[in-house]
Amino acid sequence: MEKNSDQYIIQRIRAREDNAFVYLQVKFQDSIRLMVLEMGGSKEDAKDVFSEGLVALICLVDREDFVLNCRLGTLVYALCKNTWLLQLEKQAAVRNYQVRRLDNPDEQDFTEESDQQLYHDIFWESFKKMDKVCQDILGGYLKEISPKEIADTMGYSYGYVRKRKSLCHGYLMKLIEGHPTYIKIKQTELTLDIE
Amino acid sequence: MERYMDKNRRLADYIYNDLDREEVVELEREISNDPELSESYQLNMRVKEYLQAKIQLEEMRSDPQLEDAEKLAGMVFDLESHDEAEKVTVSRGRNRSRIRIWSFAAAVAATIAILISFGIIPSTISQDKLFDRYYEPYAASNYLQRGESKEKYRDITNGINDYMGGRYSQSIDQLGGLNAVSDIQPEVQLFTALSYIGLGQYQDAQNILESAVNGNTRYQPESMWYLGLCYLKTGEVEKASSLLERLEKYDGLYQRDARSLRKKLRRFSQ
Repeated sequence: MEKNSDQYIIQRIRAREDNAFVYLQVKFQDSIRLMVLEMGGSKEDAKDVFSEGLVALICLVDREDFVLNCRLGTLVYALCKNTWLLQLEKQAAVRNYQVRRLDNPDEQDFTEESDQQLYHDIFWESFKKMDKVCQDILGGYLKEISPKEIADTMGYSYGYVRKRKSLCHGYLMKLIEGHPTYIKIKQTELTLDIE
Repeated sequence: MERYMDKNRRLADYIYNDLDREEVVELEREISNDPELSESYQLNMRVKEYLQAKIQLEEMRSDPQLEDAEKLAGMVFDLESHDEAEKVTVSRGRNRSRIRIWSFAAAVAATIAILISFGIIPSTISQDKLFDRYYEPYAASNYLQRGESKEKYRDITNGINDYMGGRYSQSIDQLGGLNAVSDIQPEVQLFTALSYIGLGQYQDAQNILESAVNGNTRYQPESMWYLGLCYLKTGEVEKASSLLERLEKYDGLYQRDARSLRKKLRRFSQ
């Protein structure tokens, strides 16, 4: 069985091997955090959701009737999404008993999260603005596919893919740093720093 | 410009592990000695890390096997209610419909994000988001205690009770009959306006609160705060900012919120 294949990781989870959980964390925690942020949660929520999602995964793979019939990453996503939806339901129930916020301790976090959301929108919008070749080459690198495999799939030479990747990334950064919202946020940050 | 592009290209080679050992050492040395390059490197890394997570997340969301994954995930959540079979039947149905609702909501959110990115809805969504973050129904516990103890305040207490219970239309009807009673006029104005806000009739609330703010009401800070939120909701950002600036001068509950909201509003007015 190929090391780090989904089935291999499932076996390691059943054996409760630490490296399986490290692998899951390295591989999926960032995208689950992003999912929670995009669905209105905070970074702290995301941590809890990921941990609870892993507990749910352990319960699932321990079942005798468990058969993995999808990608492991997609299963982690589905478990974490369910966890977060249940969490949202609980939060909504709690809010029914709260009439008014008396203090505002998370103000700074909210500002940071709100800026972070704006940055994310800019990054993604700029990425989607690039031509398809740039998106595919950078996308391949970001998915940690080897440059050779990207080159073979796209019908380019290895050297061209490496060079084009640098040009595309440079262009992406130019789009981001020239984005009107990005400039506006930076200006606001400067103003607030002065104050 | 060429220098700028060259810098980002070198950083790209670095963050995608396409530099040889000597080049890595050289660039790391430059990063540690050059604050501007260091800042660029951090931004480049931030972009890379975000896009990595985003691309993976989008792949998961559009995976044709997602339905199978959701069925498997459903097995875990069924386990939790194993002993309460009847309850499970109800909750399963509700969960599924909730998931369907959330999928729909996510699709709507994605559509809105696309619209924003193309400039079709430039700032309204963000203003709504800010409103949702800052708006909370007014808490009238002090007034209710006072009202319950004196017959004079019975009618207005009923109106406020309706407001507190979320029965906004009834509250407006109840308070409507009290406009002529001058010594409770400020309360009548405030809670009528608050009820209009509860109903989403911001323009009506705005009209009342404007007259309260311009008058000599004892609920000046409250009126200014909720009027500022109405302006935010109706897209009058400049008016909201200027009102919040005035409110910042009042010590008390709204001072901090007013300051932080006004700072955020600068984004829309710059």
